Amino acid sequence: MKCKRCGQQAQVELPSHNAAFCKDCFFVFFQRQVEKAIKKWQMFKPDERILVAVSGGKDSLALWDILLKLGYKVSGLYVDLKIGDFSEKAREKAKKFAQQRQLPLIILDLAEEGIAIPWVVKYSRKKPCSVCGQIKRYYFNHIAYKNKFHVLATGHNLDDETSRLLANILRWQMPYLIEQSPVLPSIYGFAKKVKPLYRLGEYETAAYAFLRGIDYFASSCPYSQRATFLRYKQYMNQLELEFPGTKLNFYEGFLKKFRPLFQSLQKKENQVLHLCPKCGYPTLAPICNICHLKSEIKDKVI
Amino acid sequence: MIKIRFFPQGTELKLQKGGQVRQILKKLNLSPTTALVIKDNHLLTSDLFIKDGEEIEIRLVGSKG
Repeated sequence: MKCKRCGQQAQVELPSHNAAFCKDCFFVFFQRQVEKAIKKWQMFKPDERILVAVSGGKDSLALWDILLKLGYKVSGLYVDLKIGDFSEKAREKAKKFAQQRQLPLIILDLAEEGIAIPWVVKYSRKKPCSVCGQIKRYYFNHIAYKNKFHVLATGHNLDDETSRLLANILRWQMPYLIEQSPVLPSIYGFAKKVKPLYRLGEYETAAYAFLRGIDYFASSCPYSQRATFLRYKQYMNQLELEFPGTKLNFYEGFLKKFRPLFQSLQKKENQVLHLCPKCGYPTLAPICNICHLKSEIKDKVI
Repeated sequence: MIKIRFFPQGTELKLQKGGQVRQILKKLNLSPTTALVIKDNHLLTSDLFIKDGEEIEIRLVGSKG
C-alpha cells in the first residue's frame, strides 16, 4: 500500500479517510486534524496557558506531544488514583515523558486528598468508572483554577466521543447530550475545557504515539473490566469496519445538526448553581458531590 | 511458522504459516483499525505479507479506562 501524499510505502492505513500514509505524511495528517479541531472550535490562542490532563496512556501523551510541537505553552497534570500497581506504572510513564522533555508536571495524590479510588469503591456504593470520572473532573478543575491555567485539555478521542454519544442517545440522556462538545466554556472562573483529539480515533493516536517513540502505558484499569463504555466502543468498531467513516460522520453530524437544537434546550433547562461552602466548587446540592463523598468515607478509612 | 508478541500483555503465539496481515488479524478476531501490527520498528498495512520465520508485535489500541 502506497502513501496517498508521496507514493512511498505506507505505514498507517486509514479506511475512514480512504487513505494510507507513510510516517512523515501521517504526522502532517495528524497535525492538520488537531489544528482543524483547535481552529474550528476556537479552543485556545497561542498565548494562553494550557494544562493537559495526562494518564500516562497514548492519547494524553500524544496530545501533550502534538500541542508542544504546535508551539503552545503546555503543562501536565497527573491525578494519581492510587489503584495499586496500575497507578504506579501509569505515573512513571507520565513522569518519564515530562522528565525526558523537561516539561512541568503537576502530580496530585488522591490518598493525600482522602479520596483514593479503592477507598471510594470499597466504602461507597458508587460505580467505579462513574465516580472516578467525577473525582478526576473535580481535581482537573481545581488544579487548573489554582494554577491560573486558561484551558484544560484532555485526550478524549473520536472513539471516546462516539461511544459516549451512542450511550447517551440510546438512553436519551438529555443533560449529557446538551454538554457533549469538543469545547466547554469557562464557568465560575474555571478553565475552559477542550478535546483537541476529537477528530482522531484510537488507532490514529496509537500509531502517532508509536511512530513518535512515545513510551506510553497501555494496561487496563482493574475496575474497568465490566464497564459498559467498552461495549459501546465495540459496537462502534463493528459499524466502522463495515462502513468506514461512520464514527466521524456520526460525531460531526451530531455537532453540526443536533447540537444547535440542544443548545436552545440548555437555555430553558439551565438550573442555578451555587458554590460549595466547603471547597468553592459549583454545585446544585447544599455541598458538592466530592465533599459529600469525602465525608462519607472519612471515618471508614483507617 | 511465525511468532506474534502481544503488547502490553507480553504473551506470545505461534502460527503454523505466515500470510497477509489482514488474514492474520482475522484469525485473531481483530480488525485492521483495532490493532497496530509492528515489524522491525515499522507499522505494517493490512495488505503486506508475513513470511515464515518472521516475528511481529501486535498492540491493541483500545483505551480501557
